[in-house]
Amino acid sequence: MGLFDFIGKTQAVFENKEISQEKFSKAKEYAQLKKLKEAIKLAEEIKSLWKENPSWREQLVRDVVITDLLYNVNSQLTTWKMRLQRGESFASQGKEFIALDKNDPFDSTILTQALDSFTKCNELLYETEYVVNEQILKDKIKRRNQFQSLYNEGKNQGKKGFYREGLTYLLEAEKIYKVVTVAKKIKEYENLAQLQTQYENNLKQIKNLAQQGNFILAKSQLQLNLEKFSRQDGEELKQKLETVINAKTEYRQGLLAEKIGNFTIAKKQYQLALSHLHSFDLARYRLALIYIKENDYNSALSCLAKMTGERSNYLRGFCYLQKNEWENTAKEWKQINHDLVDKQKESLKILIQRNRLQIIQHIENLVADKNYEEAKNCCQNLTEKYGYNENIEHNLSKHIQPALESQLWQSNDLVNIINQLSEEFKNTPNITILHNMTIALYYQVQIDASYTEKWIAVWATGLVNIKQNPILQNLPWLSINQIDYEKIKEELIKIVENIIDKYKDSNLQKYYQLRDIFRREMLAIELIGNPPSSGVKIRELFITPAFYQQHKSQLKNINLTINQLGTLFTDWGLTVAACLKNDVERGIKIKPNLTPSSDIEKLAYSLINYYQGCYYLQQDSWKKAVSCLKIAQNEIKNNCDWLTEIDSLCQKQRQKIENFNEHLEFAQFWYNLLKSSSSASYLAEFKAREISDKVANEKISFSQAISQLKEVQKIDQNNPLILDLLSRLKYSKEAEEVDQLLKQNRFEDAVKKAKHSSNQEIKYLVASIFIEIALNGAKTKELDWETLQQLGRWAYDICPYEPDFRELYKALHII
Amino acid sequence: MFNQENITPNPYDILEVSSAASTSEITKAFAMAMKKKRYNPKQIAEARKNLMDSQQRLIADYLRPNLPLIQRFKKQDLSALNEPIPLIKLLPEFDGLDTAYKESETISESDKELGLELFS
Repeated sequence: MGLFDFIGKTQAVFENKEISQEKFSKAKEYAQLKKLKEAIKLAEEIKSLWKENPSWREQLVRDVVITDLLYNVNSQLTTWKMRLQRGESFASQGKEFIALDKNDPFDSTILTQALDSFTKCNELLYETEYVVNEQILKDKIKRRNQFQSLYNEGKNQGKKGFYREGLTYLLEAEKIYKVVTVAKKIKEYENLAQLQTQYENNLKQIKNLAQQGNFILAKSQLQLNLEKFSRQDGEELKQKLETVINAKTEYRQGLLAEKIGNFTIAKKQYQLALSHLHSFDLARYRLALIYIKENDYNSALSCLAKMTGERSNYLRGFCYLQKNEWENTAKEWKQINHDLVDKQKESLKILIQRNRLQIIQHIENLVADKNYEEAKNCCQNLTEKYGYNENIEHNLSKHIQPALESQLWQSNDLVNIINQLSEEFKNTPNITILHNMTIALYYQVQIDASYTEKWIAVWATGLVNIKQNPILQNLPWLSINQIDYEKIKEELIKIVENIIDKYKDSNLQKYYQLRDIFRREMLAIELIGNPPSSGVKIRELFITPAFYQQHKSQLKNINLTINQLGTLFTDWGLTVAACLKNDVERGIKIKPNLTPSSDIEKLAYSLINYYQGCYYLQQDSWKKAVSCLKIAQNEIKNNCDWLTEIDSLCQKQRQKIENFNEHLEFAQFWYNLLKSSSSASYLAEFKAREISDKVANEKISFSQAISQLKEVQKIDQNNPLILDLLSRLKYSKEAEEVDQLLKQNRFEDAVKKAKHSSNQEIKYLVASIFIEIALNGAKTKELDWETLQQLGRWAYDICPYEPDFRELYKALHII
Repeated sequence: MFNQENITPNPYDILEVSSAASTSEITKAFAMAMKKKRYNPKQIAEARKNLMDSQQRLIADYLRPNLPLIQRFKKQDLSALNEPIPLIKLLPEFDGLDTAYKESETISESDKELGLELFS
């Protein structure tokens, strides 16, 4: 092949490529629209543009120009051909199914199979014929289904005896497909529908009979009707009628039995009637009457429970009457409008009045027999039943109740008196009950010492409230009210002290224990004030700590005030009282091992620790005081008296300490606790001494000592000892530095240092050194004039106005 | 009150006088108590001494329970109880057995009510 030929071939390849690409693109579009035949045709055309066995040169050009176009065309062509084949196969299958269908409207199976084939075919390819086929099949199947549904519903209605209704469905079905089966059915139903209409008309009449109460005739006519035409609703009506007839039969037999006085059979028959027909109120009413005749009023009442109407009201009222529940009878009969019942209502009023009088008579008898407790109960019940009555109330509150109280005290049963009064106090706390508790306990303590704590609590509470105690008011023998309450209180306190003192020789531990309690009570009375002004109260009564502790469980709502008085009511109260009464030693012994939680408990705890700390300081045991006073530190800061007291005790403690380290340790504790001027001065002084010792023993340098001392100075700014020591240390430090410079012959630096020193002694010292060297040099003539002059100038730089050196300055012509 | 050996009795109880007793009544009561010998002479003498001393008498007053005055019981007129008790019997009109039996033989109003209730 020549060059022109090759060029020509190459140009052809390019042209074919363009045509092929265009056709392939179009073919793919057809395939997308499922138009496979058109797509295959274009693909074949592309293939025909290219020889199957090109020369090697052309192949080379093809490889470069069209790359894999032909391969793609071939591949797509194969796929499209396969799809077309499968689609056509589904279509022919669908056609076969259509040919098999026998046009039977009762059978849609073959048409459904055909539709399935055409649906699958149309998913693969697009052919107008096949699409039309699919739609036709869908329509046909829908009609057959409608027909079948109407036919089946018609048949179902017929099965239930509703032929008229069934006929409507069948006629509708016939409109879709006119077939013999349907026509036959329609004819059959037309006949039966006539019977149905006759049956329904009869049933209506039978129901009317039943509604008029003619159950037996209704049942017999229904029987005849059902023999001609049977249907569910008729059967149900028959059953219902039988139930009523049976119930009525049992009821009638019950009436017969009741008539001859056989209540057992009557009851059984009425119950049977009710078991047949629960809503048979006639039987229920008769059953209630039987129960009444048998005096079983509770059963009668439960029988009548849900019944309404005057007759039921009357029977219920009568039952209540027999049970002496007059009020209920009155309530039931109130609704009855009947002449005879009105007369009975009058009798009922008399009975109610009689009952009330009988109870009053009973109360009078009980009072006559001194059975006041029962009389009180009867009075309360009477009021509850018949309402308030002035006489009853008077008898109860002015006679029975006082007699009951008097009787209680006459019983000599003090424990019972105490318990009853305690209960009464819980319900209605007042001064009279409190006083009576006090007296009962006073006598009981003399018999049984275990009541002592309880007595002290109540006795002390009585003392706080003595001025409102009516026992000392309007005394008939006392012409004018000349009561000295303070003297009475003294006497009454003495009574307690005498009883407590009895333990002194026999039981010392008990003695201390009671004394602790009483001391707290007395302190509380003191703090509550005279007249009592503040403290814990139950209603109008001020109470003491022991009383509070004993009734704590009932007094949860009481909030204790955060003050000294309040602390006495806590579990630390006994210790607080001991401390406040200067018996700290005892306080320490009885201090409870508890952790405070509330604010008032924390105050009590701090207070105790303050007193304990002070106690240890007084005993010169400051180390023991440390932990106590640390606990109370916050409270101490807020209390000037406490601050002064501890400061003073620490001053004294300081005098007792001999050891330097102990001084230092104590000073630190004191200062940390109070930060008072005495403690600051004391601590600063000992810290300064410590630093001074370290410098002396060359454990620290002058610089270190100065910086440490400056730290100490923060504790006590103007402490003279520190100021003096600081000055001396600074002098020593500068002297040491100048000495170093001189030793290194750095005279000018030494001069500069001395010149800028604030210490006159340093200045003088350094200047005098130069003067001395100059004088010695002049004497021995070892130094020339210039050197002497230099020495003099240095001295002059440092101390120009020093009178001691002025003569030499002149001699050296410096001034 | 509280005649037990261990209990210190109240002076009022020893002399058996009320808190309204005058000095002369106390003196008389003292003599009576000495005669009765319910308490020993020392206790009686002490009781008299205490009740003659106004301060000590106040303590004796304090050591007594405060009991309310028992007022007269007011009786009521109970004569109505002597009247005959009215008898209330079950009214035969509310039994109606015969009527019920007669009605059961025919179609009664109750049957009509029942029919309407059950078959409407």
